[in-house]
Amino acid sequence: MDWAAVLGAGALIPLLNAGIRLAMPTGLAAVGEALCQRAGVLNLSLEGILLSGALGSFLGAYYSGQAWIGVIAGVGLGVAVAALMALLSVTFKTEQVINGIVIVLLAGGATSLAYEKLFGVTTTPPRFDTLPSLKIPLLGSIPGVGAVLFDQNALVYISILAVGAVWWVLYRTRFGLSVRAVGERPDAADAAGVNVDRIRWCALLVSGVMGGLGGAVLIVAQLGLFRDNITAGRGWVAIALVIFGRWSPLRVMGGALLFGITDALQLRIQAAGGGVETGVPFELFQALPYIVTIAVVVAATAWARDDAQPKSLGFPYEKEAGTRED
Amino acid sequence: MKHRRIGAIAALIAFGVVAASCGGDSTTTTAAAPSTTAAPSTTAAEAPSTTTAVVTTAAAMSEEPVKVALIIGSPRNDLGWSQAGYEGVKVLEEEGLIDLEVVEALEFETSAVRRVLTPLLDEGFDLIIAHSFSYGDAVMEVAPEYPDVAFAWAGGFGGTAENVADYDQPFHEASYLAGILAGGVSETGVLGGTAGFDIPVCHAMLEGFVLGAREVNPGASLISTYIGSWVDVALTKEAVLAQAEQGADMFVTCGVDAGTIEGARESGGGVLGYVVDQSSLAPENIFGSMVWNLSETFRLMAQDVRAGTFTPAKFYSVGLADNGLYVKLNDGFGKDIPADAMAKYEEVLAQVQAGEFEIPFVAAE
Repeated sequence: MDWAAVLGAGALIPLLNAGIRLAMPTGLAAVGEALCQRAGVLNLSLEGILLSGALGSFLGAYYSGQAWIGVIAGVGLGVAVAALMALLSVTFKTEQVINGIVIVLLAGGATSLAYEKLFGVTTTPPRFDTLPSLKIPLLGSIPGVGAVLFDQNALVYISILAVGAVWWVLYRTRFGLSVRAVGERPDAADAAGVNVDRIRWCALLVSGVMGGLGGAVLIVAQLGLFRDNITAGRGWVAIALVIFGRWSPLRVMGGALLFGITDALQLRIQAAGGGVETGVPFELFQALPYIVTIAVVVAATAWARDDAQPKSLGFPYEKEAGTRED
Repeated sequence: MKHRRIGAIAALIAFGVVAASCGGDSTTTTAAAPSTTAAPSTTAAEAPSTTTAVVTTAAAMSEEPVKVALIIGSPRNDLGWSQAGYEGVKVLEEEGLIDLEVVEALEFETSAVRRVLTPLLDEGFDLIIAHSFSYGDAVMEVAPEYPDVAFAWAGGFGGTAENVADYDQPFHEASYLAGILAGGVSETGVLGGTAGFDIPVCHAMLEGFVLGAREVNPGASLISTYIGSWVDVALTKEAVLAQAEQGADMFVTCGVDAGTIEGARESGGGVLGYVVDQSSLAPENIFGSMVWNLSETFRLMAQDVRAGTFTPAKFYSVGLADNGLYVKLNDGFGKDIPADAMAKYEEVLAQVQAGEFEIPFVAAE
């Protein structure tokens, strides 16, 4: 096969660009999930948040004709779904795993139903033109690097800023300190005067913002259309990436990029290599991003030795009986 | 404890909403479908003298419509497989040949499909069309218990039983025919093909495209990518962009059309619409669509049911030659189709219709 078509200098920039496109929606959702899990909430509703964000951004952008309204609507719907998760998991303190799965099912049915009721059966399903790429002056003209980093659409820049913001909030602010405390020892945080439920609510809402933004990137920046289940399991991959990145937002984003670039690479190898005609099962190519990611997780875990998982992840927090107000 | 109980109730309510949103959809379908024909509300004796006799004069219509239930595995507006099935039965409903109920069953496990089938069987449907390969096991299991009901499923290979018909998906025929045009239009001689999984129908469809292209360009080659999902639009689009980077400029797709069309649009290539006329999706890029005209297949079944000749059930194979499938060209296509390719296209189509040429089915190795 022609390796130059896959890894040659000319092929590298499109490969990295495709990798970034594939990584962005999953990466955003995963970074928000990382913050949420640091606060001790296992938010399995992520796929539902992504999907709702995708539908919200589609409806917003389609009806208004404005990409930005789409982004706002997507984030809004993502936050709404996250709020439902917070209501069940934080306020009512019910089993987080079950809440998450129920919400994913709910979002799957509700988005399909809404789309069908709004647009019906048609051979001309609605679509709009996706965001054009926005080349940053000077930086975008740097050979190679410029085309990958500074010649993307505006939403990609915003996404990168959002990931940086989550990192900054988590490690450089008082709120971030509370998040980390609440995820490790909620009782200790509580004793120190931190309102555990409020912090967890906020963490879930951040996860809603990031997941909604992820859905919006998929629709507004990449596809310009909506189909049932269009997020195709990216939310579940994102949850796996949180473990991959050992609950650190930047490492999680790095994992998303590794996954996306490997996915872009397998598509190119499959195409250049003759695909099924070579006798190599096509499933092997599709498994490649997962194999690479799992291999890195195993290596990273073995190397790091310490346990990065927040100690109270998945457990609802209830005050000791003696200290309860009611 | 109080909080826990309220929470459990809230979770139950949320789950109830899920059930209601799914269940509610099929209920509205049930209510809406019969309203287009008056027959179900009247008794058999009254029907001819009141509604049907007034509406139509055709002699055949003095007979009662065949009660048909169509079960589909994705929404009826999926612009693909399920929509083709839905439109196929809809035509027959409008003709008055059948009474129609459409059920969306989004699960494929045998037990789940049985739950969908059982109430239909009790409601006295004459013909149940299970419009997915994945419904096969459930249909085969149920059919012997209801020998008076006619069943059909989308096996596509002749998997019939006494009262279970199978119907074909000869997509490779239309793909071959369209491939002739693609071979003429392509500047690079490299074609791209995408499919969700490497299943026989799709494999033959993709290979048929390049075989057709070789009628006019013997050096034409095919890059095929299997996505591993039927629903991942974004990944499919990336696959097409990757093919375009490697020279592909004319595309064919089996089941992952949304992403393929978006990829063709972005790379400026041409693409064959899938299953329904999709030219409106990308008027400059879609050179034609393979239209799966299932009404022909379903009409034969309904007529057999009415005539009492359904059993022993047949394999209904209605292809290019019998209008079960056709290529709908798009006049707005942005590139010129060379005259020699067009002439070859007409020639092969005429040969197929005359029964002089059988388009090859290329199976996976």
